[in-house]
Amino acid sequence: MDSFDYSSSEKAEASELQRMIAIEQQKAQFQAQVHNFTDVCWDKCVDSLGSKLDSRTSTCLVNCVERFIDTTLSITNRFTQMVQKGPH
Amino acid sequence: MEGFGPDFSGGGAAGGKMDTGTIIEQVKVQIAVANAQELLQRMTDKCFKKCIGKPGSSLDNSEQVCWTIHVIKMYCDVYGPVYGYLEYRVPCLQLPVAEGKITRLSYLLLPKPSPSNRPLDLHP
Repeated sequence: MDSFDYSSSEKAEASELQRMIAIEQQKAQFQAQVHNFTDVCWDKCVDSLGSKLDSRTSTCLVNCVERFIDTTLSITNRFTQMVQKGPH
Repeated sequence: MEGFGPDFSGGGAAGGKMDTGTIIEQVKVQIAVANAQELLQRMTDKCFKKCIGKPGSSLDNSEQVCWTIHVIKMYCDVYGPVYGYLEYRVPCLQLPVAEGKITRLSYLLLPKPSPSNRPLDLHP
């Protein structure tokens, strides 16, 4: 039956397609992360409306992104330790 | 854009098999649409919280001004730089997206920060 007998070129095309889709998924995940960071850091750093992005707000945004990354890593590490130690 | 053409729904007369390029284009479009929806959702959230006090029977002029001019602008002023900063900060994520290979749909709503006027201080 032809339809169950994939040629090697079809297999190669399928795995290439999988690879490309994986790249697109990674991009989508990155974009989702940007939304997260923007949401959180907007709340932390933007108080007054209408003012152009000034250096104080810019500094706050950089700090916010960095601290958010630090927090994520710290929590992940601590959580991993807790899980490895077990229920005792 | 070819992706919105009649072949959007499947292989059809060609024997049921789309080529890799078409599939990837459709995937990109779907992802861009989802991203735009997310952006709109978050902007609406922020706008509503910041600009709408006690909800009246309609949006009055000052509320309209507030969310139209200020909050969308601020969100894009924040979103763009954060996007650019994360591209810089996390090297493994410097994907082809940085080269502007997103579809035209997402370009409408996602201001791509250019390195020349990136406002954030990039000292690590």
